[in-house]
Amino acid sequence: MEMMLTVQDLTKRYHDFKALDHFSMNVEKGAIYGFVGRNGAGKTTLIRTICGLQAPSQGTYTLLGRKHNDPKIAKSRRKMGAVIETPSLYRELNARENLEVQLRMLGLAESAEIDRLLALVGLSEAGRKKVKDFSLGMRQRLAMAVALAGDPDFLVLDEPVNGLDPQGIIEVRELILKLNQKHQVTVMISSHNLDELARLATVYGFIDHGRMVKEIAADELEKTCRKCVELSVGSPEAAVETLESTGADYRVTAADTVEVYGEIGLSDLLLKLAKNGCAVLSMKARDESLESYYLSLVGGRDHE
Amino acid sequence: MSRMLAAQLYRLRHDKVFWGGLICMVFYALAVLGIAVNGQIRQGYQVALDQLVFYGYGLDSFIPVAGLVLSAVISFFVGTEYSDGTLRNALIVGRTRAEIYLSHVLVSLITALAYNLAYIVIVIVLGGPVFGGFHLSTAALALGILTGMLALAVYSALFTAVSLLCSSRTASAILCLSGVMLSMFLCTYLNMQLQEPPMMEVLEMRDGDSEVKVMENPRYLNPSQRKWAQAVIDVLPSGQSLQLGGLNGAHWPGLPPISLTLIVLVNGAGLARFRRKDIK
Repeated sequence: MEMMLTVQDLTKRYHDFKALDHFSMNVEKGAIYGFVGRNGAGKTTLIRTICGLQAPSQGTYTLLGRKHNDPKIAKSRRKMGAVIETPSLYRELNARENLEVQLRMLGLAESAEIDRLLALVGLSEAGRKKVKDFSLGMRQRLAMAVALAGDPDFLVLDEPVNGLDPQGIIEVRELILKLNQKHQVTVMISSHNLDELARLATVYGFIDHGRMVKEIAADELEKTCRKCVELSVGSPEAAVETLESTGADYRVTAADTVEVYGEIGLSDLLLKLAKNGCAVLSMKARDESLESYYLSLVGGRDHE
Repeated sequence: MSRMLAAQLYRLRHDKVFWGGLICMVFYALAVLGIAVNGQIRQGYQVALDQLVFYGYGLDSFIPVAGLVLSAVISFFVGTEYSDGTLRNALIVGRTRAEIYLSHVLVSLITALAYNLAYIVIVIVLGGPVFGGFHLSTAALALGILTGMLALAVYSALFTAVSLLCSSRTASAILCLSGVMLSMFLCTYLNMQLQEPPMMEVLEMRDGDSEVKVMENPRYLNPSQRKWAQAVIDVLPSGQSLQLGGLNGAHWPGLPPISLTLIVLVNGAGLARFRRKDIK
């Protein structure tokens, strides 16, 4: 199995703080890798490191078959594109000029290529407008066009749908799927938008406190995700008391919502809730969401 | 390297600050010519075209105009890579730290030389018919211009180093501008100290009678101090600019080797530090 990116035991220290702590991961060729973690978990540090912006303190990574300290790593980087945090664009230049600069850096300056990239991200009509006058959505799109200059085989996106309207989110999703399915581009996406990620990713990596908690394929995750019943209740305290007494596996997900996992006797449960004075306002059966799975991996206690 | 340079030159052509700096130098050239014409016609003093050419590096012995303009232009141009985050784009696609650093040094140098060339051309084309030809020998003129261009190259290296090592464009601009101004005041002060005569006349009044006495000037620098003062003026590009602008040619032959050494040292140290810098 060919790997686009292999990270082995990577550690990154900033003075006394370990942003990455013996972190390891594997991104297979052709995958859409969903990279999930809370704020400060180390996602952006990892992305900065594999993009060559920072050197690791310890450990190695291999990018398109070359180790990070290989003198020829630049050849691997030529086949890579990335959008890291905020879009990196020259504010005083327009869309075309920004792409011109990027393509010249790659030795590829051609007007037709610029037209193609602008059309791909829906910015053909941007004209002479300077980037400083763009909306956030337009900047995100142009940043993606810049990342796609040079036809990369590996695309790294850090919060690509940040600030986009629903239409924009759909367009970015379709673009990523098109790049992956039609052009075999491997994509690594770091995002807090788990719903959006769930529609895209073929593999997930969960990071917490600088360490890889779990890597799992999307189909495996689907099998692992437990059945659950989501109850909207009138009295959460009474619901919790009842569930505690039955020994059920549950989580309070909102002020008046409880998720109960696994195989449960619904009729029994509803009777016990009614006996304890807890009204059940609505009930929904579904699979455990990516969000719930993520919370079960990293623990939701820190947020209570 | 050539690709990185091509990208940066494209950016330079589209950079308003670059064109603004060029316009500044054009206006400066016209102002210098205007003041010189006024001086020659109204006040009757002879103006040498040679001096007007060297004002492109420093106005008389006081203001290193080229240094001031370059500090603003280069720190803004290079600092934009941090303020707009675009430094990341080059690193992500595999451009090395050396390519990035050296391409910025070269573009800064090209900016400096373009400004100097524009200034010289305007002064010679418009000033030549008014002030006549050059009085200095061709060799002296060539040495002066070479010295001036190398001083500009030192400025370029220093401002590029500051701008690439400092992650804030604003901080870079402040550091570069204040650096030029501080060195300008220092060199002017040291120059004035070097101009002090060894002896001075003092008027002494006693019991209604006055007497002129000649005594040692306490502000006169001793030989060791004079050596250090001159060394500082020779090493700093502002000091070199002021020596050129004041047509103070005694030390010109020694200045190009000093500048070349500084260019190598500043670029070497700057690149070494930039290689280790974490880019956020």
